[in-house]
Amino acid sequence: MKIELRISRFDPEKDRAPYYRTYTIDAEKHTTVLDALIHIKDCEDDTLTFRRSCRSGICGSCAVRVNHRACLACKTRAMDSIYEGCILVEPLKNLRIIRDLVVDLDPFFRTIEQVSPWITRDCTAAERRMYPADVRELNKTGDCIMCGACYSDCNVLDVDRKFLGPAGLVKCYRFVEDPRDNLASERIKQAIELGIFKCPVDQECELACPAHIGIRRDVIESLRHHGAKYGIAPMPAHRRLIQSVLDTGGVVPVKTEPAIERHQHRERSFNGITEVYFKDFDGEPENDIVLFLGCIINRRQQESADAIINILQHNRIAVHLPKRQTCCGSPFMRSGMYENMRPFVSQNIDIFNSYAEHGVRCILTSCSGCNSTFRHDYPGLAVDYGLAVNYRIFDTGEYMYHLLRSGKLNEDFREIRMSTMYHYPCHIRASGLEEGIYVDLIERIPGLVLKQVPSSGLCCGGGGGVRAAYPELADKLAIRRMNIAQEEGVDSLFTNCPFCILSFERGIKLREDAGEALHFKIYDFYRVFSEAYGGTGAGP
Amino acid sequence: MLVHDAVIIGGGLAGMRAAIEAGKEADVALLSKVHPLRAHSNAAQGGIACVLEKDDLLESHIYDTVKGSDFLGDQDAIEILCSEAPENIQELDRMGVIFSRMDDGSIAQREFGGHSFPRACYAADRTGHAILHAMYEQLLKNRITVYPEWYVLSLIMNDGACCGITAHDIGKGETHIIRAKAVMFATGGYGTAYETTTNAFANTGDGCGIASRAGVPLMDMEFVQFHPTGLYPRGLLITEGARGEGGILINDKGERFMKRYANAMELAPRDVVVRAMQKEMDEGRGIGGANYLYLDLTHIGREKIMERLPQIHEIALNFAGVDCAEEPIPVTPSVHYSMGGIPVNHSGEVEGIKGLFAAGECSCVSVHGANRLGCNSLLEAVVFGRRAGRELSRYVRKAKLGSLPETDGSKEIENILDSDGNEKVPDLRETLRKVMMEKCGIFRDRKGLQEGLKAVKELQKRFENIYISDKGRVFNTAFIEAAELHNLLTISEIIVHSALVREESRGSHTRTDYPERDDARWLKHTLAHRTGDGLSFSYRPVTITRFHPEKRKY
Ligand SMILES: Cc1cc2nc3c(=O)[nH]c(=O)nc-3n(C[C@H](O)[C@H](O)[C@H](O)COP(=O)(O)OP(=O)(O)OC[C@H]3O[C@@H](n4cnc5c(N)ncnc54)[C@H](O)[C@@H]3O)c2cc1C
Ligand code: SF4
Ligand code: SF4
Ligand code: FES
Repeated sequence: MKIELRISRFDPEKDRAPYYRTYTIDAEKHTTVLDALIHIKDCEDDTLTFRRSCRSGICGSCAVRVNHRACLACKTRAMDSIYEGCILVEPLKNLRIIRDLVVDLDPFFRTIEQVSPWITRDCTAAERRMYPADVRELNKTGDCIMCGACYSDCNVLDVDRKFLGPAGLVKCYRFVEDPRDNLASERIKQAIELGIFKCPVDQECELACPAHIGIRRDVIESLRHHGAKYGIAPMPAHRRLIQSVLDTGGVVPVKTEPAIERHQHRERSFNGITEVYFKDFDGEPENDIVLFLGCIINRRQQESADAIINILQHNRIAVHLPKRQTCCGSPFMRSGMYENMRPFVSQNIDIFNSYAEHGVRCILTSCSGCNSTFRHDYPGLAVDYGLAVNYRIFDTGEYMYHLLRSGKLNEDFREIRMSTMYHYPCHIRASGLEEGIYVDLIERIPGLVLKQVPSSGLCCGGGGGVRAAYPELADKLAIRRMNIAQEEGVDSLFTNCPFCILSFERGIKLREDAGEALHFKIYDFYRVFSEAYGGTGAGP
Repeated sequence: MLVHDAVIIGGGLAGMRAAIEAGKEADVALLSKVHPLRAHSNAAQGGIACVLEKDDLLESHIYDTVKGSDFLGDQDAIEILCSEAPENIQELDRMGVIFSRMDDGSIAQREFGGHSFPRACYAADRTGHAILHAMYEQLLKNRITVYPEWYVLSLIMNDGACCGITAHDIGKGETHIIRAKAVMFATGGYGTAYETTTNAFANTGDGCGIASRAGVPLMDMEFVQFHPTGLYPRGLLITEGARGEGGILINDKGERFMKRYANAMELAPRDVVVRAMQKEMDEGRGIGGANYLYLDLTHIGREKIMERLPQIHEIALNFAGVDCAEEPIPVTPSVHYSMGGIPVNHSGEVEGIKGLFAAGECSCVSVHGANRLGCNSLLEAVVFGRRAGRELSRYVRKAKLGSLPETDGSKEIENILDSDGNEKVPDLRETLRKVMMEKCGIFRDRKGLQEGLKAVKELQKRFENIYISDKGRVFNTAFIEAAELHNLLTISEIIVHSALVREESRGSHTRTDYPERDDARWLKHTLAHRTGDGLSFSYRPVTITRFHPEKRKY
């Protein structure tokens, strides 16, 4: 089969800026992007310049970006990489281009050198004993091939070169975990200085990593957790957030009446569980669900809560809003303070299980952060705490998508004329939910046109506690994200994560205050859907 | 001009190990055409051999290696290799290598072909990667000067002594002369001289090529190791560890054919397995009649595969679309290792040339003789890398910088850039690789070798008429590929010619016209000297200390 490659070219002796050239080659099922590059170099154009050596994914030479995401050319199959008719091949980002696809990796290697990547003590043979479990832990990071893919795609590095970056943190953690080394607390201290709390845990690096290193959970969050154990993490700003959770059950304090308090007359007891109940349609419901709001929506974005309820009512879904729902525990997880989260987690699991006992098994979340915590962290924690899990977690959008797939979604939408871009939140991705789910859903609304670019490097800056500890960095990320959208000719973003919305709105306001209005709008997924159903929120 | 006490060429395991040792007391610089983290030592999967268990015996490791070498290995060198293994492994452990462990916390070991005891220490199936990265960390710790992505073009000799090199800074496109009291080659193998190989693109035999052109004889170059299980058709390695874990070889009839060839079955030494495989395929029992067989791991079970052979699982899946927990892997013999190389003594010195050293795969000590046992070459790289490093620092303390003869460092690059012929590098290279595969492969005979030699010489002639259209300076990889081809052509001639001269079958060298080992005539090392436009040969006796040659049976 003939395939087309669009390759970024740059010769410092001739060109002022990189440009693209398109080549057509014959490819077979197992042809890799590296095979394709070599074929072009051998048969068509010997000036095409790229690095390669082992051709088996172990030496780390051939990292490039294919369709906007960093990967190893030798491990990437050409046939699987065709996007809109061609394969876009570009050099790694965040590094200076030397020629064509070759970048200057020195700054990347320097991040490795910064963490003193060697065993510091000279142990005796007995001290060097390690067990299979130790090795398993070490191999989680020891497999890094130093290809630089993560460095290229890291959001924070794009706006803050002082950040150590993912590979440096991977290397740091490799030694923190090594029983032969004894500098763990110093190493973690250094990791904090070099920005471990600058990372919004958006996992862009992990998606790029060819060695499948769990950079977010196995490295960054583990380092934070170790830091908390040594009492040197999290940062003061995070401690304040945690205190707020301990005092009020949420990271944001109550300012206006929370969504859950606004429907007093609907309060009732459901088999002993105090809840707010919504079923404003006639006849039997299609289903009953439990809605978990999360503190941001409950306390700051009450309209979204109403919108979700309205959407569900239009689909004949009865909504149970348990009053005792409390913080999902994500602030503890993200800052490494696992030890304090047990009461919160237990309380939520207990509520969910009580509903399940009475036949309501679907738990819907409105916040993508809570969703990813429930999905990824709760199962393990439940085991640790000796609790059973009898319920199922859905993101509300995901649930709507299931309705759509089974032909049950009420598609009686009115026209909403606008052209926008869907911002795919990292927490949604972390929950294993694909961008296409939301794009498909949004495109059901007549008049609404989406302009998507392959998602990469698109972080709002709102995750991982960055906004608390490094507000300026978070703002930079938010503004950068909006600028990227504007470069694609879109003046708004459409998203379904309360953190993203907060971040973007803050970015817009900051720019306005600075007298450089962005002329940019943020649309809340649920509020737009609710509007499409002709309503703005739940009734009183 | 750049000046160092010593320059080490090659950032693989041997080069880095030597640099760390020599760097303790001397000003050494390490040059490498690929960044040290990219060296092909990375790709070693299976393990590194060492007697650790008390039930295993040093004697046994020595004997296995001697027998594996088909009695061509020098037994004094082999004794050093095996007896220094334990302290080197302990040292690697101290350096931070993440070896796989036993439940009691000791270093785990597995079976490997030709070894009569499970003595391969390993790090899952990424042993080379684990050791190379730890070594690089030591390089950083010891603040060794590194010139990454510098391509060494030639040796500068004066009066039988080595006094420096010319090297090309690939990134900047500048050629430099580096003066040094001593130079060491650690440039690895030359697998890319063959069409099917487990080696990386960077394995082009540069060190051997450069040394030969500078007048250094090359030893035992006819001994080219094929690995039994290269992934078909790319040649990528499926580690012997896969057979160590229980993998079996199957022909088109579904038959475990190794039972007809060796009691040790799939774990017989590589030369034995490879000949059996080639015979099966030549007699039409390749899968569907084609040039490959099956390696079946399915009975090992997914869980064990994922724990012990994760990289194999990924390679088969990525590059052949095969999930080896469910289907057999298509495999074919693939050129893997060079037993021959630059002849050195036990301290890595090239005898007869002052200030020249070598270690690792590009050298010939000789511990592998006519056939290397698996896991012995990583060991060789660290053991003899360390020894060479020690000697290097001792040497430069006494030696003086030699005076530099008139040299024009950029001659080679100018020649290639200015050449306006009509021969393309990729065409010549691909032709060469086919010739080597067909004429100087697993089974050899006089007629084929003569044809092969003629073909290589023709390619050398055509090389004089080379043309590359890339005239840039910065990161000109077309130029590097041309320079590499030059080296491939130099050593290919030596491989074929040495094979033609050796009229016997021994280890990896199988002459169908001389099917028997002939100790009376050929229990000796070949030395190929460059003379004008051809080669001449001399010989060196094999050191035999305690094991007298006997028939090899597995
Ligand atoms: C796929 C594979 C698997 C293997 N598995 C095992 C195993 O399990 N156990 C085992 O014992 N052995 C194994 N081997 C063999 C072993 O890995 C090698 O023999 C050994 O790593 C060689 O190390 P080295 O330092 O000599 O060379 P390399 O690691 O190849 O390093 C050569 C270095 O020289 C540099 N260089 C070359 N030419 C130039 C030049 N012109 N200028 C500047 N620099 C140059 C290169 O950049 C490179 O850094 C395996 C080999 C392969 C190919
Ligand atoms: S999660 Fe995002 S910000 Fe954090 S290291 Fe990875 S890419 Fe960088
Ligand atoms: S962490 Fe992954 S992506 Fe980053 S350098 Fe290591 S292998 Fe490459
Ligand atoms: S060529 Fe080595 S990782 Fe791709």
